[in-house]
Amino acid sequence: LLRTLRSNETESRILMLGLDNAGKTTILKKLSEEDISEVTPTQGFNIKSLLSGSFKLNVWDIGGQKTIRPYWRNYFDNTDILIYVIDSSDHKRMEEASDELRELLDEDKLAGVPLLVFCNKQDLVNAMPVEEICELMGMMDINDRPFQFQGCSAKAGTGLEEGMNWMKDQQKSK
Amino acid sequence: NLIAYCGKLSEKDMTFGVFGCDNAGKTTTIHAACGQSQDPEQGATFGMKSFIHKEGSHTLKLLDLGGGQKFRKFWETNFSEMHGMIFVIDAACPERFEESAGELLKMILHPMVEGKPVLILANKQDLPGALSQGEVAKRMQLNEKVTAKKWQIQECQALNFTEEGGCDPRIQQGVQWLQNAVAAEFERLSLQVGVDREEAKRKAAEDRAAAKLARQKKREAREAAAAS
Ligand SMILES: Nc1nc2c(ncn2[C@@H]2O[C@H](COP(=O)(O)OP(=O)(O)OP(=O)(O)O)[C@@H](O)[C@H]2O)c(=O)[nH]1
Ligand SMILES: Nc1nc2c(ncn2[C@@H]2O[C@H](COP(=O)(O)OP(=O)(O)OP(=O)(O)O)[C@@H](O)[C@H]2O)c(=O)[nH]1
Ligand SMILES: [Mg+2]
Ligand SMILES: [Mg+2]
Repeated sequence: LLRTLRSNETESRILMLGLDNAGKTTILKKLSEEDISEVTPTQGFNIKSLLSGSFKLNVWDIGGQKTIRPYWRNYFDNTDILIYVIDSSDHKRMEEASDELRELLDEDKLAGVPLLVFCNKQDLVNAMPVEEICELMGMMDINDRPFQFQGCSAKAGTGLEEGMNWMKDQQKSK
Repeated sequence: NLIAYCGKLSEKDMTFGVFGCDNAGKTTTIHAACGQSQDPEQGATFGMKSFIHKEGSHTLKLLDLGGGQKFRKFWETNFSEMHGMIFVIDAACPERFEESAGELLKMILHPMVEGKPVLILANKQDLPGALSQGEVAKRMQLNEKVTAKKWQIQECQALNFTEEGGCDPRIQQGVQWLQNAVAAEFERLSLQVGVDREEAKRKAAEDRAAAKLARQKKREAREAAAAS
């Protein structure tokens, strides 16, 4: 019985990147129903398995500080879905966030990998609306992979389920 | 001979793009066409997604794109891939017919859409006040405006897809019409897709290289500003 369960299970490797302070670790904790009150900047990486129905998502959350970013590439191999997290309230660093994402999309090892962008911290009053972030980043010209921009708040727990559904659909249609 | 015949069938893999204004029901329609239920709470598409629908030995690829105002100018980055187009209209929302007609015309006049058949869906027929396909066509003046093109309009209801009942058969009928229209000119359309795709790839690579250079310059400026 266990074996049949296993074979029906879809296991995927999810890579989660984004600038420091974007909220990656908080999102991952929220998704695994852990306490989010004490999150500290990630120096290396965290990995968690999220189970949902017949899906097992192994999420790799890598630190986003500038000094750590050169190591992102060590995690590119065999990625099924790339999650990119943006702090929607950080207007000053929107360009930097956009540039880093563009660099990722140019990587050969991530070619064609579906992209989910979490526009996080939508609970803050100065958060930029998702459509505006999309436009500002000029991302709608992407045509070499499926992608979706999803507004969310890791703090309030909104938008995360929609993102999970998108990923599951993506894995289903593979 | 059977092998040759099967080979021919599998050659007829087709890609259709699904366009239309936000809230028209594009995502819901694609889910229905592919036999999947759609969560009405899922929200707007701010991106792109492809759905693969297998039928016997050949596959139909349906591309779902965001219909919001800000996304429409990027529809054309995907035109090169398409054998045919599906354009969805909310038939219960006549206030937006003019907007829809404008987008539809802009699309079909694009050089990479020329000569490709178009299926127009007058969706949301279950809603009170929904207009019939004839009435939608009349109000949008499709007969006058959409000339020199193979097109067809079809009423449908994308929502309320049930696992048992399947999707509204009118969606299948519409998609079947489009498949037949493409199949009738498959060689010409495939050739066009092949040529356009190469051209689009070349241009995308050029744009990417230029963008990379621009980013590098911006980054240097940003870092210089931070240092001083
Ligand atoms: N208001 C608000 N704050 C959030 C939200 N998500 C995360 N934060 C806060 O943002 C800060 C950074 O969150 P982290 O999860 O550590 O960010 P990170 O992306 O993992 O950062 P690095 O590990 O340095 O790459 C923390 O103080 C979080 O409490 C949100 O949705 N709303
Ligand atoms: N009553 C009714 N509602 C529908 C029908 N089709 C779609 N809807 C609803 O209309 C809304 C928009 O549907 P979507 O499929 O998300 O629309 P869309 O064209 O993909 O919109 P964007 O992604 O924003 O471009 C959703 O709430 C659907 O449930 C229908 O046939 N009847
Ligand atoms: Mg972290
Ligand atoms: Mg949609």
